[in-house]
Amino acid sequence: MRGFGIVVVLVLVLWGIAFAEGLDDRVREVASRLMCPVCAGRTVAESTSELAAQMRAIIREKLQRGEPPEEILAYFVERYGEGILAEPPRRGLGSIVWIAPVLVILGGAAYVAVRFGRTGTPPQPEEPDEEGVA
Amino acid sequence: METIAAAPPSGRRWPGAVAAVLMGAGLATILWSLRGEGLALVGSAALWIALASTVYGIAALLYGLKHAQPVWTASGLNAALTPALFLSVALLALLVALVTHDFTLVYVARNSSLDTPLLYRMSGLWGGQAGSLLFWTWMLSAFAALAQLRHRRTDPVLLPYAILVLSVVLAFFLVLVAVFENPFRTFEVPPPDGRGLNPLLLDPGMVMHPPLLYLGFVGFSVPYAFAMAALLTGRLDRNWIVATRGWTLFAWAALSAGILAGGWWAYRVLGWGGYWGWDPVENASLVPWLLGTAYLHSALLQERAGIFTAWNMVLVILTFAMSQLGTFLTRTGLVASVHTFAQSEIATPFLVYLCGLVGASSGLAAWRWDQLRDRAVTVFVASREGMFLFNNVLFLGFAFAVLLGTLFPVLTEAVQGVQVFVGPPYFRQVSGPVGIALLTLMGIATLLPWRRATRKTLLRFRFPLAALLAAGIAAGVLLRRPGVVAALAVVAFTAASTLQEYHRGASVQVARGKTYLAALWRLLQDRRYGGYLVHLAVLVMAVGIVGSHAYVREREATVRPGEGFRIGRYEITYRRLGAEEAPGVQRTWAELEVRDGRRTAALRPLRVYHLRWDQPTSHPAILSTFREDLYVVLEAFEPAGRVTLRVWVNPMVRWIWTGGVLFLIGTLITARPSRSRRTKE
Repeated sequence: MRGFGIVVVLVLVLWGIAFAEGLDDRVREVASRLMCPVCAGRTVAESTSELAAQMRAIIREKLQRGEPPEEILAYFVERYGEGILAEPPRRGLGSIVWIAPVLVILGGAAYVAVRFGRTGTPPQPEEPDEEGVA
Repeated sequence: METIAAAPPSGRRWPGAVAAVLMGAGLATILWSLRGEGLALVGSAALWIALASTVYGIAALLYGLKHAQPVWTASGLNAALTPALFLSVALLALLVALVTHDFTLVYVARNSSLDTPLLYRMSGLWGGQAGSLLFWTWMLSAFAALAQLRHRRTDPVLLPYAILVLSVVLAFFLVLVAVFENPFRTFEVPPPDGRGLNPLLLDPGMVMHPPLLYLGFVGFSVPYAFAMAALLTGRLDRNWIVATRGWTLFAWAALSAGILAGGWWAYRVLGWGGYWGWDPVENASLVPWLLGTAYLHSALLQERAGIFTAWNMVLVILTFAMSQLGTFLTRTGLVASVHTFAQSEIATPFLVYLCGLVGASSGLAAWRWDQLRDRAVTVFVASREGMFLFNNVLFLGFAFAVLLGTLFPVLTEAVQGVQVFVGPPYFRQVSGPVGIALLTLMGIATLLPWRRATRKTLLRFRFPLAALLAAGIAAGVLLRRPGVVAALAVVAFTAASTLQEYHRGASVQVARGKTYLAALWRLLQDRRYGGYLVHLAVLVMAVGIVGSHAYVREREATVRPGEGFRIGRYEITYRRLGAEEAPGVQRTWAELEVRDGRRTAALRPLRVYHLRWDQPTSHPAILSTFREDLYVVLEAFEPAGRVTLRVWVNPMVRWIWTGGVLFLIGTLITARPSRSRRTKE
């Protein structure tokens, strides 16, 4: 029994060494999509709180078990509600934040293009550009 | 601060300054002798006198301007100088109390303690809510006084109206300070020692960050006041823009410097590996900056060609309103955030004030709308003016997105009862494409002439387009990530077009017989080329931002003494744990040895436990080069010596600070009055 334990630990350690660097970055990737529940305004990846550290440990464990990131996110949403997602969902109320700025920018650009695009004054000679240097 | 209150409008400044310093010293001595209840009384009295004189000034100005009574107008203007004087007394009183540990004052006891070093006792002036509001108000009164001294002769018509507007704003803040958040409240029985400043604020970055931000926030009130004066008087020519150009640039530079100082502080103190977290308070300073940048550019058009009056009016109102909102968000904790160290009841008055401000300003603009609209605007899309317009649209859209994202949790809570959080990933996804578009426009606008591009203009695109292609291909082969490749290609394009502009300018002068270097040196001092220097600095920072965001590596490791681990090209060995006790704090650090192939360096990430606050702070150890920063945080430790370290490799962060310094130098050059412009007019 004891021997088995040692083998498991050894395998895990070797596996860990082989994948550690990639795994840390993958943990960061998932953790940066979750907000830390106890420290408003920080993601789990950035937070220095204890809870965030535990959540990172859970993410690490689940990634090691081969769970896909989406399932891990769903796991946390189930426990903490949708408010934990760092990115607002792209449906329902959340879609406003995604659509509104695009509309503002495209609308503004279209307005500028239409309002000034066809203004037909006769072409004037290019103003000499060096006046600032004289 | 005394010089502002007492400096004569012109001429012999030195005797005045010396007298002011002597008066200040004398006053400080008197205040010092009054410590305790007496000092609190003087401070409060100064606040109320300042409020009374502001209210009198408003009344006198209103009466004088309405009934064309110059005597009353002059009296109102004089009265508007006094708040600066009395607020200086109040500020000095609070400073004396902080420096001399006068714990009779609640504010002093909450924001300093016997073991707080002198520098941080002084910065305690803006470390808490009441103090920072007093500081803000003092600054506003000083700006109003300075504006009066500066513009009395040059803009006699606009000035009284501008001072009236500034006085109304000042009156609101004075009410806040005197009634709601008076820093001179006292204990009946003073405690023997104070609680001390929040340990996170014990950093030079935090000494500079708030005053710089406030300089920016408050600075925009002067252009705003002159814009309102232009609306009130109906003098909607470009005079108000020309008059306030210096103020706009000053406010914008201070805001930029404040944001940079905040990033620098966050990077060195908060210990989460980054410098910008899209935190609500950070966003609250970014929104006015974005709008101010848009305004700065479109004001140039009005100054140059007298166009876009209405648009500038809208932008200056928005910029000022967002500066006020910035103060509001920072000080009231409407959106919960790590920065908000103080909660308060000033939220409701502030909200009423903000709505009134926006309502009144928009009402004024609507009232003058027919005059504001430009009669015959002839702008071509394919011209520098056209690019400025698109620049405005993008800045405005960007500011809107940041504001919407910041307030969204509050909005959804009001509408649906659930907070829908908008975190860093959202802001990153918005700022990436918008940033790239803005950098592209920056390059194109530099290449296009004013008024209208011709076929000949296309020739100017050759070199920048070649740079774009070369950088794009090189980055595409080496880096793969499409966003990064696009960003770097665009940076190369815009850098090439800006440098080409320097070359063109220099060549013109070489043709007149100057040497190339002398010509470049002359260009470096020119206002317009100062602007290009700011553009180049933005490119340097952009490279740093892209690099540090796209290629961050992170590792968390728990190690025993003697053990080591790798991250990137660094081999980190943990030697031993060090610890020491100082009054009020326990310091613990890990001694690390870092090898990156050739060099060896010693790093000491530190963790300080603050007994009084029952709170630890992390002080990351940073090994910084232009290539990358190795950033190590001591996350946890056990008495036996086992430690958990969080390590980041942040590429090219140094480019951001370097670009930031270059940025400020360029802004200073731009703020110089340009000789050529004056001769032209």
